[in-house]
Amino acid sequence: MRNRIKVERAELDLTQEDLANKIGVSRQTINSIEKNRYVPSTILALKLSALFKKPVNELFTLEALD
Amino acid sequence: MALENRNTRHEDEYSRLMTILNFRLPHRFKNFGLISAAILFAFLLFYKFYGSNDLIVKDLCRTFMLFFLLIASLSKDIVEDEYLNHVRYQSYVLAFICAITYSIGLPLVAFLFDILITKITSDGAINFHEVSAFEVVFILVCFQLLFFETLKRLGRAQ
Repeated sequence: MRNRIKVERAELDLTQEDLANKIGVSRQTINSIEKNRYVPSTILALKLSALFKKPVNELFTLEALD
Repeated sequence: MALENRNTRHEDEYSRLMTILNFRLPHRFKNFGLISAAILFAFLLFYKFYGSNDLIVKDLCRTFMLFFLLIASLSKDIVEDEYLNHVRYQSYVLAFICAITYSIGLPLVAFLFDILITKITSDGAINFHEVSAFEVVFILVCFQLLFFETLKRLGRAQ
């Protein structure tokens, strides 16, 4: 699964730490999501969606192997 | 009615399991557990070489060492979130695999070496090395703590 978290974060000029604080997780969680090492839960995906004001399926997209 | 009772029972069972799964001690217990286990480990080493060979003292120290390691293993991190929970579960799985591999592999390797050495020197019967419960649990908890820290470090890497 691919995601646009890094792009969206850059558009809002947020650091990983800022984003982590806004949604109540650690910086390494944001780092792992951006690096596609971790797929967040629905709760976290919805929090990101609310923060970036974009639907979840715009932030996260399935790949051919998913 | 019977179906409703069964569902309620399953719900109760599930919530009990979740309570155990989600149980975490405050972060300060992590250092306390690790330091106490390290002190006991140093004492056990000292006792082995300089103390008397009292089995009760040894067994008590081992038990408390495992208890303190378990406390460290069950302690929260500074920022506890879903990613760290995920990493913790991964570390338990990896530690479980390592402990099982150790308990199967070590006696096998020792047995093979025993056969080879006995064949070379012909000095007695071949013994099958027994892995104690303490060894397996100690390996399990230590590997869990190590894998947890390693996976966390990898997660931090930019």
